[in-house]
Amino acid sequence: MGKTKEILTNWRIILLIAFVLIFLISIKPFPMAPDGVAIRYVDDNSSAYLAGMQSPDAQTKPMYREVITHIDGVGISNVADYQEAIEGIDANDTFRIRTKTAYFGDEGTTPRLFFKGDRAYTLQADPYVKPSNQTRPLGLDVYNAPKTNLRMGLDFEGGTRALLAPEEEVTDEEMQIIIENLEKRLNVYGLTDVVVRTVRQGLTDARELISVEVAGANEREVRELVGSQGMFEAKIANETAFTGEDVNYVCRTSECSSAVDPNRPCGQREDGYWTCQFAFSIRISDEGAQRQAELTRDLDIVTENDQQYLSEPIKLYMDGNLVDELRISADLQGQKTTSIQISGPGTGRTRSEAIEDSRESMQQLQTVLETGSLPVKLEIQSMDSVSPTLGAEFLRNAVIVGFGALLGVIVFIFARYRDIKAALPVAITMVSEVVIILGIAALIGWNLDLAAIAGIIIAVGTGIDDQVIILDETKRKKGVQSWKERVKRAFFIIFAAFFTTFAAMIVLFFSGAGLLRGFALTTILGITAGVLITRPAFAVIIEKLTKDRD
Amino acid sequence: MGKRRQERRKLQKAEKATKATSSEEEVERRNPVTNFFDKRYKILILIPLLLIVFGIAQIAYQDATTGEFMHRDVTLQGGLTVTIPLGDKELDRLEIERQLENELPDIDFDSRALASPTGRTTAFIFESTVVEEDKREQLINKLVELTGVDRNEMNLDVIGPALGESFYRQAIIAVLVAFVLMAAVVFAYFRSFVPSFAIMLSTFADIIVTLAIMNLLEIKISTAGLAAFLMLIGYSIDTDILLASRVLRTKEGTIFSRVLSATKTGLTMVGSTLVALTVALILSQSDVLTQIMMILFIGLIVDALMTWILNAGILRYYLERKG
Repeated sequence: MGKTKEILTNWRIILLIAFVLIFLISIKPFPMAPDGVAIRYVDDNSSAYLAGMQSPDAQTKPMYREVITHIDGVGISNVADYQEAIEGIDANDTFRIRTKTAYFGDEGTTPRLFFKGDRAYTLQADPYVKPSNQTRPLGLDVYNAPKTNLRMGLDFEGGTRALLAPEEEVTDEEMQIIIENLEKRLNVYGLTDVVVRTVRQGLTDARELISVEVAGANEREVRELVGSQGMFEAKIANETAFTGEDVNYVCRTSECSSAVDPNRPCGQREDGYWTCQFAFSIRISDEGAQRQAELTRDLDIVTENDQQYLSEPIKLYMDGNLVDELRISADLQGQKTTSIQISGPGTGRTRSEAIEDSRESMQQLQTVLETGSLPVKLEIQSMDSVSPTLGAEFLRNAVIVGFGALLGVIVFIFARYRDIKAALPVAITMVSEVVIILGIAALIGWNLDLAAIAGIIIAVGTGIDDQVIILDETKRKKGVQSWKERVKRAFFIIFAAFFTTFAAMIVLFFSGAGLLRGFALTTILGITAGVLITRPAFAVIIEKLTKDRD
Repeated sequence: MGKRRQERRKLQKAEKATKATSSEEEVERRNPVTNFFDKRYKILILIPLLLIVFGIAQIAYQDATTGEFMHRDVTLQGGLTVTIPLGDKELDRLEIERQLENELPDIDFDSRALASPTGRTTAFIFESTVVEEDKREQLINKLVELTGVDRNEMNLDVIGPALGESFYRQAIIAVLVAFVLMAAVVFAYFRSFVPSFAIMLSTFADIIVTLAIMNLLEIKISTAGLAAFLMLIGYSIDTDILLASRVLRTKEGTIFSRVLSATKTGLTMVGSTLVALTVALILSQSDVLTQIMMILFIGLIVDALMTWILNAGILRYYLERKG
C-alpha cells in the first residue's frame, strides 16, 4: 500500500492523472446526457424559427447542442421517434417542444457545467402544409443526439468531401470570394456542417485546390451545388432581359414555392417513370424589369387556344443550359413585372422519388440563384462520399479492432514477461494515451476520421515499443548502474525514435492534401503527448514497482 | 568492525553480480541457436543482401515490362471506387460482374468483397479506371439497378486522373524527403558514418523488399498504402536505433551479448506489434485499414531480418575491425 501511495504522489503520475481527467471531461462533459434529437439547423421564418428556436453556431461542440426531448409530452429518443411524432401533427396545430440546453438563461451564452437545463417552445405548424409533408418538417434539421464531444468526421458520419480546381487562374481575392460563396451556398441549401478551405497539393505543386467537406450531404447534392458556376440569364429573342444580379429575392416559403406545382400535378410517362413539376417565384430589380419591358414592347401578339401571347417566350438559362421557358401573356407587353415564376421538372421511378427529385432540383436552383454566381467555373477533381450506413459500420468496426488489438498486446506482454506488474502498467499507459489523443481532438473540435484513427494506431504503436524499451532497459541485471542511468539510456533511444518519426510526419504534413495531412497531425500529437506525459509516467510506475526487488 | 563487514558484503554482492553475468553469458554461449548466430554472422549477412538484390530485381523488371514500378489503385491514378453495403442481402458478386460486362462492355472494372470475421460478406467493392463522367454515371446507375441498393447508401470515391497522378508523385516525393530527413537525424545522433549508413541501408531494404513482395502478391497500393510505407520507415528506424544504441553506447559484455540483448528487446517490440496487426487484420472490415496493416505486417517481418541480421552484422564487423 505504501508503494501505491509513493506512485500516486510522484509528480509525473499526478500530471498523467490530471491530463487524463481533463481529457475525459472534455470528451464527455455531461455525465447525464439526455436521449433525443439534437438540432443542427433552424430554417429562417419556419415554425421553429418563429417560436424562438435558434440554429447553433457552427463551432458549438457536439454535447453543447440543444436536444429535443419531448414533443407534446411524448418522449423522443431518436430521429425515428421524431418523425413519428411529426406525422401526427396537423396543419395549423399548436404544440409544445421541450428541450435540454447546455446554456443558462434565455439568450444562453454562459455554458453550464454538469447538468443541462430545460427549455420549452410553443410552435405553430404551417397553416397550409402538414409538417410531415414539408421538405424539412417545422424547419428543423435534426440528428440523433451525440453522446460524446467527439466530432465524428465524414468517414464515420457520412457525408461528402471534394477537391475543386478553378478552371482558370484566380487571384487571392477571387479565391476568397469563391470560398465565401461556396460556404453560403451550402449553408443556404441547408447544409451547416461545412468546411471550405484552400489546400496545396503537395510539396512541389504550387497550385491551390479548394477543399469542401460537408457532413450529411450526399454526393449528387454537393456535385450540383459546387459544380455549377451559377450564371443565370433570362433572354427574350436572344437579348438579355435580366441576369442573376438582378434577382433580389428568391421565394422559399410555401406561399410561393412548391416541389409539386398545384397547377401541374405529377404524372406517369410511357416508360413508367414519374415526372413532377416544381415552381417558385423570384423578384427582380427595377432595372431588370425595365429591360424586360423594353424587350417585349416590339414583339407581335399571337393567339393560341383562346389566349393571347407574345411571339417570343422568355428563356431562362443557368450556366448556359436552358432551365425554363415561359410564354409571356399579351397583357404584359411593355409592362414592368418584377415577379417571375420559375418551374422545372423532377423524375423518378416512383411518384415519391419524382417528388424528391423535384424538391432537390428546386432547392438547388433556389440556392444558386440566391447566392449568386462564382467568378470562375470550378472543376471537380475528386469527390469522396461516404454513406451514413457504411460510416456507422466503419466506426463500430474501428472500435472493435481497437479493443481487440489492445487486448492482444496486453496478453502478449504478459506472456513475454510473465509479470502482471509489467502488463498492467502497459495497459494503463496505452489506455491513457488513447484518452489523451481523443481528448485533444474533442477540445480543439477536430473531426475524427480515417486519418485520425491511423494516427492513433501509430502513436499507440510507438508507445508500446517505447514501453518495451523501458521495461527491458531497466530489467537488465548487469552492472550496478543506478536506476536513473538506465532510464536515461532508455529515453535516449526513445527520443531518437521520436525525432525521426516527427521528421517524417512534418514532411507529410506539408505535402499531401486531405488524408495524409490529418494523419500526420494526429501522429505528431500522439507521439508528443506520449514522450512528454505517458511514457515518463510509465517509467515511474515501473521504477516504483520493481525497485524493491533489486 | 561493522563497517568492514558491510564492505565485504558489498564486494560479495558485486562479485555475485559479475559471476551471474558471466554465467548468463556462458548459458547463452552454450545455446546452439545463439552459438550459430554468433559464429556465422558474416555469412548470415548474405541472406538479407540477397533479398535486397531480389527486391531491386523484381521492381526493375516490373518497371521495364509494365512501365510502373508498383501497382497503383484508383486513388493514385484516377477512377471510381464504389463500396456497396449488402445489409441482409445475399448477392452473387460474380453474377453481377457478368451482367455488368454484358451490359457495359466498354467499361473496365474490378471487384472484390469485404467479409466480416465470421465469414459473412458485408460489402462489395467495385473499382474502375474510367474517368469520363457519363461512363461513371452509367456504371453507378447500373450497379444500383443490379444490386437494389440505394445510391445514397453507397460510398462513392471519384478521383480525377490529374489529381491521382499528382497524389502519387507527391507521396513518392514525401517518402524520399522523409528518408533524407531521417538520415540527417540519425547522423546527428550517432555522429559516425558506418552506423548511420547501416541504419539507412536496412530501412531502404525494408521498403524495397516489402514493395517487391506487394508487387508479387499483385496488391494495388493506395494513398493509404503509401502512408503505411512511411509508418514502416518510422518503425524500422525505431528498432535500428535501439540496436545501434545498445551496441555502440554501452560497454558491458561482448559485442555479441549486446546484440543479443538488443535482439530480445527488438523481437518483443516486433512481436507485440505483430500481435496487434494480426488481430486487426482478422477483425478489420475497412479496405483502407486492411491495406495499411498488411503492408506493416509484411514490412515488420522483413525489418526483423534486416535489423537483427544485416544491420547487426554490419555493426559487429565494423566494431571488430575497429578493435
